[in-house]
Amino acid sequence: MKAFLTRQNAVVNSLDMAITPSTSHKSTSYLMLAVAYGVLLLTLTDELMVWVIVLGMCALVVRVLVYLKSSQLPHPRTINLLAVLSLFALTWFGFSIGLLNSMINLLAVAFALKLILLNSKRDFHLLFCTSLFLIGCGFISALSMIAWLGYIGVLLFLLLALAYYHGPVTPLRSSAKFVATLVLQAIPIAALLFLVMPQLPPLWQMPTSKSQQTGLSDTVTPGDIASLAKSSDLAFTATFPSNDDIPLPQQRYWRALVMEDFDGKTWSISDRRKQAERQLSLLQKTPPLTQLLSADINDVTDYEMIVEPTKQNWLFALELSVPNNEKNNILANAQFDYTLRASTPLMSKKSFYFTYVPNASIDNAAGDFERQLNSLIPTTTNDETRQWALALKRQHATPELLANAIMNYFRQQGFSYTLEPNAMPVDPIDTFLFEEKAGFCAHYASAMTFALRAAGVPARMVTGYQGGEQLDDNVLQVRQYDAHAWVEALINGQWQRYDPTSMVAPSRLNFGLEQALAEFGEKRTSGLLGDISEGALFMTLQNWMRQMDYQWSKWILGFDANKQKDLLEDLLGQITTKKITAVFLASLSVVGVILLVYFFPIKRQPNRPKYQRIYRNALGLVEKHTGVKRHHLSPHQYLKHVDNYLEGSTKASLHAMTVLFNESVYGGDDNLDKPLVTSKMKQHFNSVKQSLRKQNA
Amino acid sequence: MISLFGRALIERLSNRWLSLVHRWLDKRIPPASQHSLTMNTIFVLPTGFGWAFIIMSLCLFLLGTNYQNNLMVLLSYILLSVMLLTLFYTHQNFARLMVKSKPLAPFHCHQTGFFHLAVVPQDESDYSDSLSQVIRSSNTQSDFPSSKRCKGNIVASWFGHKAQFPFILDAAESNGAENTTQILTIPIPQTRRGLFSLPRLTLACDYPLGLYKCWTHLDFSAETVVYAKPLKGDVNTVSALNDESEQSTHSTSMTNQNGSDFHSLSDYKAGEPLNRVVWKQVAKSGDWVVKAFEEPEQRNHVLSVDTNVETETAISLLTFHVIEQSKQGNLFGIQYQSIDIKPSSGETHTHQCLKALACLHNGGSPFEKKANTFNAVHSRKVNKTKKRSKVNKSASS
Repeated sequence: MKAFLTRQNAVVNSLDMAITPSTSHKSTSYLMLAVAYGVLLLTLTDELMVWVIVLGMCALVVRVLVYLKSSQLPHPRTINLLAVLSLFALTWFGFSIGLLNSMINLLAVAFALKLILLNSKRDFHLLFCTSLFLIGCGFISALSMIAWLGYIGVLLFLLLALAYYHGPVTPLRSSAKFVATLVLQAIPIAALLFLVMPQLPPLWQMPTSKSQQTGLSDTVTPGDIASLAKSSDLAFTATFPSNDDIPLPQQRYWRALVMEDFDGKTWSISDRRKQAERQLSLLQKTPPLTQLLSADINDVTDYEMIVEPTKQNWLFALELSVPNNEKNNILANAQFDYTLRASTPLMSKKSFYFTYVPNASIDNAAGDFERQLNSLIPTTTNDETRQWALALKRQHATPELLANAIMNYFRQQGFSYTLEPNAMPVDPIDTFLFEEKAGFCAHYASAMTFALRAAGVPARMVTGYQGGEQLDDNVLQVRQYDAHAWVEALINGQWQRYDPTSMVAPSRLNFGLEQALAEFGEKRTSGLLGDISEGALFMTLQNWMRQMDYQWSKWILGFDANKQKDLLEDLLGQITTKKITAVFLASLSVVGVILLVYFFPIKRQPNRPKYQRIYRNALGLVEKHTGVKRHHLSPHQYLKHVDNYLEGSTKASLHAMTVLFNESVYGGDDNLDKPLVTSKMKQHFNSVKQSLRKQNA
Repeated sequence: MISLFGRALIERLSNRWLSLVHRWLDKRIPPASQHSLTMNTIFVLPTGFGWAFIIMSLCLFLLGTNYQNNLMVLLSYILLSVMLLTLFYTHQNFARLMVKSKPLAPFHCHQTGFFHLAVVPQDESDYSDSLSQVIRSSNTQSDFPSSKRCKGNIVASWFGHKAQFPFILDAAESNGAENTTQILTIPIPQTRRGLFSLPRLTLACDYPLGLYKCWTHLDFSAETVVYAKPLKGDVNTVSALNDESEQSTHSTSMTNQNGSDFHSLSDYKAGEPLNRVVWKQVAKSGDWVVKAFEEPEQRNHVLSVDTNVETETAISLLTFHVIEQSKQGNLFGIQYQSIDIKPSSGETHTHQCLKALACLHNGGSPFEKKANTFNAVHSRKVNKTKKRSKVNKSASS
């Protein structure tokens, strides 16, 4: 037995020798996998730590060297040592980057280490699956259509590596063709699944990424919003039922956060407010915002917002809007300060549905608590402003007059609107009001709120967005540079909005930031792109891109259970269980039909010359008449077989046809007069047909 | 004790299971020398990697659902669709395989025997329509290039054996040689003498992506005789004279010495050993003449071995001498235990002798006096599984 085994080994070895052509395929597909990994790493820069990316690139370089045969695979012991070191580093940094990111980092590190040692089919498959998961991780932060196309490209490349690995003698070109066909064929099926498979709610809470909270932040130091203004990233898109429903530019206040705590420099959400909200919700009191609609108000507008991922809880909506939580996939909860909070952080683009109530007022919802909270100011700083506010209070009897006086002060005292004011480190409000007199919206809002509080009028700073660019008839897009800050003062039990920026730069409200800055001789962005972006072609292109992105967001990213339901209802009317079953069965059969089309194409008749087809038809007639099947006999043999069954004219014609056929097919005559042969064949065929018909009759 | 009983039970159950499997396979894939794979003969299941791929797709679906990320969900749907489509592609590719068994050459049990399997391109094998055949060959440019052939790695193994023999299909074609029939050479795992029918041959392929494994168990109804190992040594040569009544003379001698005297020339008759032909004469005149010897009776041996020699050794000795006699072109027969073969010569005769020796006390021989041929073959069929388990045991030991 042993002898046999050794013999067998020898045989297997000799077979292995025969396999050598495939080794080049193997090393090439290893390299392709490594390249795909490198590309994935570069797209995951948000999630991955720098040292992980460097490690991954080293692994890629090792693979390239191994491919070029200038280097041997490193010893596994070296890699094990490296693995231990990486594990230490991962645990060390893991706490600071959050659970999700450390998992992605762990995956990337493990991939890199395995990639260096990759030398077997099993490992290759393992790494292939891991890279699929890395692609999935890429979608956590990259949601645009471009990113999706890019990742599908990476997927194609990975599949190509796999196909190349498993086709040991298939040329790369035909592998590429196969993979492209495969994915193209897969996309319709995937799209169908996407449309009909139920859109499930989140099954459990997932760890969220700590990094990169975008957009507004929950603290404002005047100057922060100015840096946000440099970004033209999309903040959200709002879709209204029709063009008439879009509010006027000066009414487009998208309220997000209410800042009630001031430490002399920075505004923030008050801890006492957070506590109070918690207590009120424990007491199961309903916030006044939710009761807004119960009053008889006719003039309301339903609209949809597609919010870009902020990785935060807070939401923004037109002042004032009631969340339409029946349609919302993620609940939008109203607070007692009339702001909105999502039930989970926004990790991807999400649709929210609101009802806009234009003429509603913000009431003092928590009585004395709000009044007290919004009257506090630090008593040691900004002395000059406090003196000035007290003086104003003496001059003006009512809070309204007082507030108007402050607004007028901004208008009359030569203030200017700028993105880059000078730094104001000491007593910032004094410096701003009486020396610099130049600033951005947050400077004005901060100064006014402080002055009002100093004069005894409860006031607070509100941040959010103001404005919006019309993309379509009924679609508004709001970008990060539309971020804004304004003031709310508690007058007669209601919070009244004051926007001091509008006093300085009136065009900010009507025409947006760029126009307002232009009036003060500034540009929002500087550099080369600034000039190009004014070109007509560029504008068209940009608009086109934005349109695409909007459709992408609306139909792909924002596709949820509601949209699915709407779509089905549009198609089928009222949805019943029966109809849903029918839809599922129908889509299954559609998948079946698609597969049928792919794999069982209609068998085409081989493209034979016409005279040959005529001959075959004649034989068919004869077969039918005589009942003698031809099977695989040659023309002459068959003729002998059926000779006895046939009569005069049929026999003669068939003989002639056979001779003609043999001459033209086997004659080897290159200059065959095909039309002539065809016409002769036809004649004989007709005579065969007629004579047979006579006999049958 | 209990464990022993348990093991016996398990063995019995597994034997029962195996025989069931074989009965089912015989019905599903009947034996034939040529197989073209069809829906009925192909089995498909995801490989380990295929399952990993599915699990990864489901993980992506869960991740996408939990993050409410439609792009991840879409990716997982695409992956699942790719998985679905690959099922068909794998099957389609494997179904193009058409194999034909080559005649089996007998071999000695100390050698490795080989089973040769020809991979026939399916479109060329379509002989049913000679007309289309003609037309296709008349078109010098083939309409169906190699894309219609089965591609990828083929792994062959014998049913119930662990050893695997990988092959690359179309390897020759990559070197530019088109339309060549590829021959797969598969070692036969047989180390004992006897008449064996080959177990089913398992062919497996995971082209194009390795996500699925297509396989089939083919029975080529091929039988092979494994001759005994030849052993040099002495045997009894009984001169069987033309007159059977004459007494036999025992002579213990090496029969390979060729000390006969030349007597005369006579005309060649078909079937006479070629080494007696006087080639010089043939070359000179074209007449086929053979040497006739003075004592033709002495060349007419019956080989036998004393009964006190161990059976296996005796068989080996006889095998050796049969080969030698055959080489010299002598007339010879065998008389050993139940074997009794009349003296004759020629290739068929040699094969008969060797076969008889190979099958002695081992699965039945058509030349054993008592043995019923039909029964032998029949019992062999039934005993197939038992034999296999025996082979397995010896392999594991």
